[in-house]
Amino acid sequence: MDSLRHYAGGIVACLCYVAYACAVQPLYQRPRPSVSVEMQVVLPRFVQVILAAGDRYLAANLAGFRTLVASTANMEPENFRIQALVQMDVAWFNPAHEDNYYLATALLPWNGQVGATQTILEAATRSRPFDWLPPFHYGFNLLHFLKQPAEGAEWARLASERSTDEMQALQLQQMAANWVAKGEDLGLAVRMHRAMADQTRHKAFAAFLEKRATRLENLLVLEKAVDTYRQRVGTFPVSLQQLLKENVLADLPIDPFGEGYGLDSNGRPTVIGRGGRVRGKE
Amino acid sequence: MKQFFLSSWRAGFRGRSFYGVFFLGVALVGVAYLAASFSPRQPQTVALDVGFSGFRLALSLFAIVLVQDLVGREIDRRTVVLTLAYPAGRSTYVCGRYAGVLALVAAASIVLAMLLWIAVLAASPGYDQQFPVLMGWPYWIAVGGIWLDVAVVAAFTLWISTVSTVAVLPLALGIVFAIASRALGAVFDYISHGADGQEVLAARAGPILDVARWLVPDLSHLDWRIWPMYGTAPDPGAMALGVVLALSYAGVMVGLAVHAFSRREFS
Repeated sequence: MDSLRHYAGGIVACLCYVAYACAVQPLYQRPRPSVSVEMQVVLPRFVQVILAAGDRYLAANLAGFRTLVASTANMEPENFRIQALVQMDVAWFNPAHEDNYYLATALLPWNGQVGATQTILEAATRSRPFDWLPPFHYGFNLLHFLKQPAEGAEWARLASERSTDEMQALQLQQMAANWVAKGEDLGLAVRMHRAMADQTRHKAFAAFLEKRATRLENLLVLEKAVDTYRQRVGTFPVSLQQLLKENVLADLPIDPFGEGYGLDSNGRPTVIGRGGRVRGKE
Repeated sequence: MKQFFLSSWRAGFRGRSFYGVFFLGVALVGVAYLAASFSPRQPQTVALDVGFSGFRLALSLFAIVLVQDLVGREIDRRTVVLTLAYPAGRSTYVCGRYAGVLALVAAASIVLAMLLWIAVLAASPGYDQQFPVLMGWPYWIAVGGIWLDVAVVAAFTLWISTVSTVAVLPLALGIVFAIASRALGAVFDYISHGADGQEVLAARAGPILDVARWLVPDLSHLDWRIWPMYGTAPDPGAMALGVVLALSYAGVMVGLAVHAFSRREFS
């Protein structure tokens, strides 16, 4: 009896380990619920601050890391809406956060979240008086998405005032003048994407921006082809195939994101999503 | 007072908690270094930002554990009775212990700040970010702000240690105070701007916060990290008021601690 008591601890440990071993194998064989990498949840701001031990800068970084690791490949509009909310939270915690306004500019307005992007860029413009990029992007969004070239030009002029490079300041002023004169400029959007790709050290993100630039270039090619078609035939084409039949284009460009191109109800080129959804000039 | 200060200083280095929390601080500096790899445009700024957050967290824990070790535990074990047998006033004991804690926190601040300084400059080699961080005086002034913030947390924990009859209460309340005092500014900002349209929450929390700001200091005013991170110096008037707020609140807490400790009976 005494010897049993002497070894009781070891016996219990062995028996428990056998039970543990019996549970391990069947548990590992069971299917696991897949972890969604898209943005699905946003917490109230004060909860985020409390979770970051009361430190709003840490809350900004934690939310910022979430937006950086979220996969945008299969995001639905609802996911982008939540991503926009998270990025607006980051801008509230730390409006000067450079990565936040950079990512917001690269992702959000191209996926229907122009208002959120402008809020983030406005906060960055106020809190980063030394940085010319937030007012430039704010102005570009006014021009490209909101079709307000005159207001956009005002922000481009503010960007030129902040630029420390004399040549760059002159170019920005020239750009502002062009916006007022010509309105939308798809070529500028292409150049902006390439410049943003050059500015990041993340190769995968730079590749993403390069793909977007290629998509915009393709849309630019199609825009010009549609204009040529209209001059020749007198009407807008109903489908892109008509551009090939009329020999305006040798072949249709291939979308780098694996989606397709089509024409909207006004006969203008646009991106058609995998489900046939018209996605606009993303 | 000098002998209590020196005994605190020596006891601080002898205690295991000193090294435990210090290694936590070193680990957090390591996390700051790794955090830089998440940033596409400003790796050094992110390393500095995360580093300051970890730095403040580690130092707050360090100060709370030190006060708990040097005052709370002595009272709990009644060894304080032997200490008070010296021909010195009780107020001298409390002030000496507090000065010792502040000196230990200052020493830890300098070492951790130097480590963070190296980690930030070493973060992301081969990439020159467009807006460099300022690692001269602005950096050390921001470190000073964190030290002052932790000094207030230590003063509060000291007061709780002198009135508490439960061993872990100073530790628990010290941590709650450190979080609440830091979050107060952000929460006040959130509620005063309408709480994202949650009118009921804003209406309920507004009056509570109005009372809370007279009892809990808003230590976010001592966070001057935007200066080294973005080169934008905080408003000098706001900085000075933040320092006055912190010093006066710490003075109130030390005064209350002396008052409570002087009247406490040790049976």
